Amino acid sequence: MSEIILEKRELVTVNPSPVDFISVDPEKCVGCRNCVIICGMDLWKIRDNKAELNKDYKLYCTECASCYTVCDFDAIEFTYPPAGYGIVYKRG
Amino acid sequence: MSNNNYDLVVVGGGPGGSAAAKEAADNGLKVVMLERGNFCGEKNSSGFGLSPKAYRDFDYIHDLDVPSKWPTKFGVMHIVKPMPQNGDRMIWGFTPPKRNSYPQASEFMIQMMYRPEFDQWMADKAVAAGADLKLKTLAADVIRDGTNVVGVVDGDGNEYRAPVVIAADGAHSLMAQKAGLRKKWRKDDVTVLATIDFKADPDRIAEYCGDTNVHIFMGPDRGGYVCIFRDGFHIGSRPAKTLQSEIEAGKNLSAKSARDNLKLDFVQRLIKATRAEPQEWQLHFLPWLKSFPERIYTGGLMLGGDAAGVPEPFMAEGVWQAMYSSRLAAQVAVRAHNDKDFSKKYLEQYMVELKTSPVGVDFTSGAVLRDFFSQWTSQTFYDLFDNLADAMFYGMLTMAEPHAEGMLRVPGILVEMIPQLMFLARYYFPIAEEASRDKIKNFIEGIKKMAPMLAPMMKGGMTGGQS
Repeated sequence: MSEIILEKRELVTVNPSPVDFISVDPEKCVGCRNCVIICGMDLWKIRDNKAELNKDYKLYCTECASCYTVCDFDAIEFTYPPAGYGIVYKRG
Repeated sequence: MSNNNYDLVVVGGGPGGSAAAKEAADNGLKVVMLERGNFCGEKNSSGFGLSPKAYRDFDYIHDLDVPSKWPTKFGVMHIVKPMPQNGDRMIWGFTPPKRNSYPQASEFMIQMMYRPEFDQWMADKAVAAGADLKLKTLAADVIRDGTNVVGVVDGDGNEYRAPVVIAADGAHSLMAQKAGLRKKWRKDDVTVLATIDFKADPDRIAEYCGDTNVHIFMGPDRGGYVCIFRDGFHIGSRPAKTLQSEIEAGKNLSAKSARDNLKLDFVQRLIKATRAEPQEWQLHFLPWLKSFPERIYTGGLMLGGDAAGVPEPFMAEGVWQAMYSSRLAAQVAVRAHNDKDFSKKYLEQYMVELKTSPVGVDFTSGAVLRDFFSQWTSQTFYDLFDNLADAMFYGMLTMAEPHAEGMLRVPGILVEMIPQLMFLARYYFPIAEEASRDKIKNFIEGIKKMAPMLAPMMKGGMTGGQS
C-alpha cells in the first residue's frame, strides 16, 4: 500500500503569536539536547553548544511545554502566547 | 474594577473549569471563568472521549448531545506482529461488559466525540447556570493578600478578584507555578501523546466500521490506538512512556510511535476504505503520575484536572477526573464561603476528600495496573498469546491435520504456557491483593481444598502432553 506522506508542520493550525513566549537563557544552557529530543515539532537545534529555537517556531509550536519540562538547567522559559493566539485544535 | 469582584474565579474553560463553574453558580456563587482560547476546547486534544463514569456522577451529562457523539458498542484489541511486519497476530473484540455497577457501564465503553464540541457544550452549561465566561482571557498571574491567593490578573492587566480561585488551566498550569505549588513537573511524571487526526467520508466510516469505533494495538515493540469519529479518526501513539524515557532513548518516541502506527495493515485499510486524509497533528501533554498528587491547594486556591495531576495513571484518562475533581473543589469553595474561611488549612479538605473519592481510588489501582502492563513489551507476554493461538488453531480448530492429532497437542501447549501464566500471575496478584486481601486468601484456601481432586486430572494432562 502506498506510503502516506505526513508533513506535520502542514497539519497544525496556528494564529502566530505577535510576541515571543519561549526563551532560552544561553548563560544557563549547557547544550544537553533534551529540548531537541523532546520537541514533537522539531523546533530546536544546537548551535555552538547552545540550544536555539527555530526563528519560525511561532508558526508551529503546539504549546505542549515539553521543552520547558525537560530542561534540567531552567534555561528555558515558557509562558503562553497572548490570549486568542497560538495553536488551534479543531478536532482534538 | 468593582464589577470584577467575584465569589469564585475559575481559570480554564475545559470540562474541569466548566464543571466547577456550573457547580458553584448552581449554589449561588458569583462566578467568572477565564479561557485563553477563542473558544472553549481550542487548546485541548484527547484521543478518547468520555467514560460512562461521567453519566454515573453527573446528572446533566444525560442531556449530552453534540454532532460527533458516538458511543463505543464494540472495541477491538489487536496483538500486532513485531516490526517491520505490520500485520495482526491475534484480534479480540469486546462488547461492553454484561456485569455492571451502574447501567451505562453496560451500554457503552466510551463516548467518542471531538473536544471542541464537548468543551463548548460544557461551557454552555456553566453559562446557563449563571457563570460569567470570558473568552480570549489568559490568566497570567495570581493576586495575593499575604499568603492567600485572592484573584488573578490577565495578560492585559485586568484583575479578577475572589476569595477563592479554582485553577483548571491544564497540565502546564501557570496558576500552579505562580501560586508556588510547582515549578515544573518531573520528567518522569509527564507524557506526551502524539495523535494524527484524519478526516474521512462519514458514509464509508458507517459502512466499514459499523459500531466498532475503538481499536487498541499491542505488540512487543509498539502500541497505540485508533479511535473513530463519525467523520474521521485519530491514530494515537502508545501511552506508555514518560518524557524521562524519551530523553533516555534519545528520540521522540511518541511522534515515532504515531508514525509507526500509520503503517499498520489495519490502519492502512481503514484509510483506504474510508478515503481518509490527514487533517491535524496533535501533541497532548499530560501528567501521568505514579503517586497521588497532594500539593493541589494553598490559601485561596485549588487545582483541578490536569493542573492537579489527577489523570488516571494507567489508561491516561483525564476528562472525568477533571470534571469530578474540579466540581469537588467548587463544593469546597461553597463551604468555604459559608464558613468564611479560605485558608490553606481549610482547603486541605479538598485534597483529603479527592484522595478517597472515586478519582483517588481509581488513581491508586491504575498505578498498580500500569506497573503490570509495563511488562507488555516483554516477549513472554506475547509468547503466551502465541501459544494460546496455537492451542486453538494447531490443536482444536485445525483443518490442516487430523483432529485426533491436534487434540493430543493441546495439553503439551498448555504445559508450555505455565511459566507464561506464572509471569502474568506475578504481576496480576499484587493488583488483586490491592483490591481485596480477603478475597485472595479465600481463593487460595479454596484451591487448597480442591487440590486433592485436581491432582489426578493434572497428571493425566501432563502425560498427554508428553506423548
